[in-house]
Amino acid sequence: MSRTKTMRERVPDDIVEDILGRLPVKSLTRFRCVSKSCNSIITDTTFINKHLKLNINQSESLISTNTHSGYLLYTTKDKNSSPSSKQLCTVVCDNDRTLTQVSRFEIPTFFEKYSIVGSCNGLFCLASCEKELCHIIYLWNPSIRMFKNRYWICL
Amino acid sequence: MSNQSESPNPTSSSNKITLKTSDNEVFEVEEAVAMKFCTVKQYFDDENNNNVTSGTSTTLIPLPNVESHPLAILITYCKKHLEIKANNADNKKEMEIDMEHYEREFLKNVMPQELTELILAANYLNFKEALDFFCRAVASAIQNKSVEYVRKFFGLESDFKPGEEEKLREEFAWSFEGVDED
Repeated sequence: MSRTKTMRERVPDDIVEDILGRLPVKSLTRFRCVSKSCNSIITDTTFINKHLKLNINQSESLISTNTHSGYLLYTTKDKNSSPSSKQLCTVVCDNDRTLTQVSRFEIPTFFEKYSIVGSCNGLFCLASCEKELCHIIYLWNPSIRMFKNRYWICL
Repeated sequence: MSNQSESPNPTSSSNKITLKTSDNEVFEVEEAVAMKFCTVKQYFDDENNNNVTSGTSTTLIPLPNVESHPLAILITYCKKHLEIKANNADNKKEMEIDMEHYEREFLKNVMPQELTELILAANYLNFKEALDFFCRAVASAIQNKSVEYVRKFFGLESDFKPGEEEKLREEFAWSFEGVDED
């Protein structure tokens, strides 16, 4: 099967979309540069939802077959390390009670004084408690390394 | 040259269906194999409905959009798929393990460029299991590749306005780290 052929026909867009849907976020972020059509597929809300759903399904099957508990989240606070090396890990607990790392993110120095309030669908909610009556809330998506100041809530 | 196909499993129907490719090669396959190709199945069903009195066991189906090279590979894949399914009829887990093993071996003999040819053929034939497998294979083949590699792979060209691509590359520079050589 070593024959190489010049392609006469282009792979249809729906198949390109299907293939893209199976890629990790880092690859998708890079492939936004492939063409305008790739960029619009990758940044389309429907595609993003489909991608999330597929990954959730895969995680669920991973949890049910190899592990007996879901995701665990922790932050490491090492006194000796600089704040910039603060890391966040998502892990699964395996049947033999060992932890397997699923992903690892560095928390941007920007969030040094923020604490993680919760997480959902790969997004993290961080809040500052600097001011007594006001909380600044950020939504952080570590997979695409972007965050948004969403709400300013006075409690 | 004609490619004779053997029975995928002894219990399957002995009816043969003849497929004729765009480069005029003729493949004779078991009905069970041909029926996995939904496009062929549709054609076959339509023909049967239109010609109920036909008692012939061989039907010739033209495939003007498929060449012999990918078709031969798809037939091999299909036969193996049916065989693994028949051997593990009551054990889905075993079937998946056997299938994964076969697919790993299969990919050792396929060049990444060949996958596009196989995808186009599987897409035209509407052979869902194969299309799903090839899409998975492509995803794993390209996930660590460069933007240029992916363009070449899908036959796409950059259509960004000057500066647009550079801006994206700058904004998401981290996603370009650790990319494989083309």
